[in-house]
Amino acid sequence: MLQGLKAQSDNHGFPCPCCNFKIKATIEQILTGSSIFCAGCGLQLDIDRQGSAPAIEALQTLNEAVAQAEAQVAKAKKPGAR
Amino acid sequence: MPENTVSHIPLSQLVGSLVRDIVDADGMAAKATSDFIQNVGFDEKGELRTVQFSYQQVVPGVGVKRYTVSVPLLTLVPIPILGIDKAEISFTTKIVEMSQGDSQAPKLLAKIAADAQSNSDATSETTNIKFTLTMSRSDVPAGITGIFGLLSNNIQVTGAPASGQE
Repeated sequence: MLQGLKAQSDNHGFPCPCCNFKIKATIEQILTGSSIFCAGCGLQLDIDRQGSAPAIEALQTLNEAVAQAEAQVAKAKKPGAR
Repeated sequence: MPENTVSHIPLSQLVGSLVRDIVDADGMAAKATSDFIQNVGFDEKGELRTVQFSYQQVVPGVGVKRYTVSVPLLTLVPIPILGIDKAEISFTTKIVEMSQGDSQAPKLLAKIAADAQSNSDATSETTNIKFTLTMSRSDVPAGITGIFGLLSNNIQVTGAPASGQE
């Protein structure tokens, strides 16, 4: 899911608060609340789900909209589809 | 045929209208990117949506300290930069009339021709012209780069009471 969206931009990510290495968290990691690790220094960042609730809700809405769009694209690509 | 349909229009308008339609479509794509930024990155009050992370770090002489970092959601989500990357339109026009306007250059009146065959009939009063319009755009808009710069300035780190040392 979100393959098309992911391919659109490589600019996303934020600097590690310890070593400044660019950390790229995936949408799935944020939605599932997984811990994120900095590839530069190994710092573990835990998502505060309560404090991030509005953002997670917006991401969930985006995720659902992308899934619907991808389903429609797949349907349109089926042989015989108009 | 609709009443306001004309059989032929100035060639410049014909070509210009195709270019304008492409630019309009590109504008609509840019609007979609703008809507994405607005709807995902900001809430109903216009406040920046952020994701909060916490992490622990050993501070010499203090021990393990817990910090919270607030990251704008837009820095975590790839922003779909939509737009027409390249447009290529091929069409053939039939010059049906040439009028001498106020300016020195004659004004050509044309209509879209049915096929792209060149007109080899020397006795014909019309002439076909084949066009290939190619448009392209630059990659990342400067505005988007600016947004990333502003968002990076909104990453905030705050300290919390030391873990197990309150």
